[in-house]
Amino acid sequence: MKIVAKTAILTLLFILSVNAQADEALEDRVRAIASELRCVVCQNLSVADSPAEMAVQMRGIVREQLKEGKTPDEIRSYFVSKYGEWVLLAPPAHGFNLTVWLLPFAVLLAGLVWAACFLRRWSRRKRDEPEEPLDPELLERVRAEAARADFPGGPGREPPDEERGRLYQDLRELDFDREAGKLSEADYQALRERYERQAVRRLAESLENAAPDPEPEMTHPPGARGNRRRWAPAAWAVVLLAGGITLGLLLGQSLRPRTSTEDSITGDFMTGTGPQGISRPGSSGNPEEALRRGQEAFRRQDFKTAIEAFRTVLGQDPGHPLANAYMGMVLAQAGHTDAALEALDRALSRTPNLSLALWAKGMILYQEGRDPDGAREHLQRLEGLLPAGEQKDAVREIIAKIGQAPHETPKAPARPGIGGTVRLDPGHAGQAGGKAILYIVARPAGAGGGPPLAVKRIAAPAFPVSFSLGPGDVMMPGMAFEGPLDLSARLDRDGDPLTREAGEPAGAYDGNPVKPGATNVTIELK
Amino acid sequence: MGVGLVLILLGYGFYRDPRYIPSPLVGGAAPDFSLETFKGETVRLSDLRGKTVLLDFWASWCLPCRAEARDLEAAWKRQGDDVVFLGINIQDSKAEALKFIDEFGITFVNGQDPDGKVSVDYGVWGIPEAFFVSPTGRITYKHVGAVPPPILAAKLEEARRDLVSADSGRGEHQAIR
Repeated sequence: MKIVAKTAILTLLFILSVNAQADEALEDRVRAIASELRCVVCQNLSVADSPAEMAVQMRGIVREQLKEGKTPDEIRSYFVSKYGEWVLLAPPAHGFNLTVWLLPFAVLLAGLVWAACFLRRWSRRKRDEPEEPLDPELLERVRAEAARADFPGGPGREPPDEERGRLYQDLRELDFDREAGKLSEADYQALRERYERQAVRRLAESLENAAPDPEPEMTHPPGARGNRRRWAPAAWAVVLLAGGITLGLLLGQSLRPRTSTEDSITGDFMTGTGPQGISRPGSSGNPEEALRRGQEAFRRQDFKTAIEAFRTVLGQDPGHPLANAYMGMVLAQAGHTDAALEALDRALSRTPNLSLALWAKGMILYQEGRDPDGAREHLQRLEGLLPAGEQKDAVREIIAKIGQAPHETPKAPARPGIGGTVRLDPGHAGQAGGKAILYIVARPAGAGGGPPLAVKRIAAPAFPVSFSLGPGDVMMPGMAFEGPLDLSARLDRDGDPLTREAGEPAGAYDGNPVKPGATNVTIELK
Repeated sequence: MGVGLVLILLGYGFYRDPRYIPSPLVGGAAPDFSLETFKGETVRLSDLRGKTVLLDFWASWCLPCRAEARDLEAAWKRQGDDVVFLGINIQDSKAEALKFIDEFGITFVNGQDPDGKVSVDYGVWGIPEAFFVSPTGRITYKHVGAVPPPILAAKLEEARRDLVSADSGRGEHQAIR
């Protein structure tokens, strides 16, 4: 019995160890394939090395496909078919990619060829040197000058030449050594000839440089070397200048200073995703003027212009309270709650009693349900600032709601909407199709151009358009859809809600103000 | 000449977005998949053959997805029976996804891709990412980032007619995790 039990345990251990080895082998294969794939999230890491969730999922797919019996080539092909060759860390050696593989070798080869040519020419010049006959006149002069102890600096047409002076000194020392018996006759003759040859070459060069109008060299085509010498520096200068300008322009468009913490460091040029930076047209100017422009744009819902204007202000004063408050409201409407809260906090840090920021932050916290106490605190501070009236009562009502049900009710209070029809003047009939978008706007009665309470957006409207505007359409989450309200509508012809053109059909309801629950509200666009 | 070549390469490098991954899928057959919806039903893409399908990959933590949600729902409400919108929630918890759907009042079909297989099958890298599939089952257009409503309408019409767009679209997007 004991033997049977022992055998069973050994068998189990064997099976487990075989399984463990198999798992290890599979993981090695997964790792080998994953290390050749580029992670789509971090991009500079392989799928094997990346800690991203996507990389984990991709490793899981590799593992599964290996278990299904697919070869590494098939698995690589699968990922290439989904993400293109981009997904391979090492680009395949065909087509344009070949340059990546071949260019380093080509450059290395070119370097070797150049070095070989240079060495060959250099050694040939050295070998050829003894064969060059020396100019007897120059040799005579060199010997005469070498005999003079006061050279360099002696009288003459050419300026003092230190190198020639050094060679003459060497020649004189050579004579001294020979007389002292330190040199054999053969060595003396060889060294003397070498120094004299060097001195003659040097003298010829200095004579050529000193001549006022040198004769053209007959060993080269007339003017060829001179022309080359002249244009080469100019060409280099042009190449460097063009390179500098190109680099400067590209860098200037690719990188720019951050205008705020929500901003990206890369520009629209590079990624197509960055918000507009301070270096863009229209971003400079007077901050007060920009703030006014932004507020106007915000009122007429031209958020693109509004954002640009507020960015201008914030570019010059990142803590500007009003610009931050408005920016927070724009961000909140776009769903960027965290960024909105950051902007509102910046506004409140400088002006703690800024009612606009208190209201916006209180409403965001209330609507998000993440911090009912914070919402209550901000709205209570706002309540304390407001004079008695409708607004104060509305804030008080919201504070009461926080106490009752902190996470619910605000999104869609059960209040009736407003229903009706928008008609288009026949004169504008051609403008309704295509990209056109109809906006139906409700503002608190008598608010004039103030921020809208609710907006309905209807793309490609077919007039007459029936509409209903209700609590679901309020701009600022949490605001109650309550009357009396002024109703108006406009047709945006280009379909881009962030721009407004002159002469676009617009109109208001003749029976303004209306109360929620009203039906048959007719708006004529003229 | 060498300097010129280096400058050209440098210029090319600056001009292209290193994070952009061009998709080889546009113009080809949409990879088939089946997905369990949040309502517990199973949807298979091949069962939707004959209809124009918009596949939208999204996550609740993705800000551009939030910005796009209302527009997408509004566009969905305007479509007839021949168009299906299918939301595919990725890299998300079910609870967060349901909260998102509730918050924006989304009524089109949504399901989750828990192990990322559908995402990889479609080469997803930045969300929201939308694929327009024609009634014949071909991907006619891909858009990385929130799709502006006019483009959405135009590309749905192209998909309905099985017309493949030459270029992919790009808007504000967020990298997946």
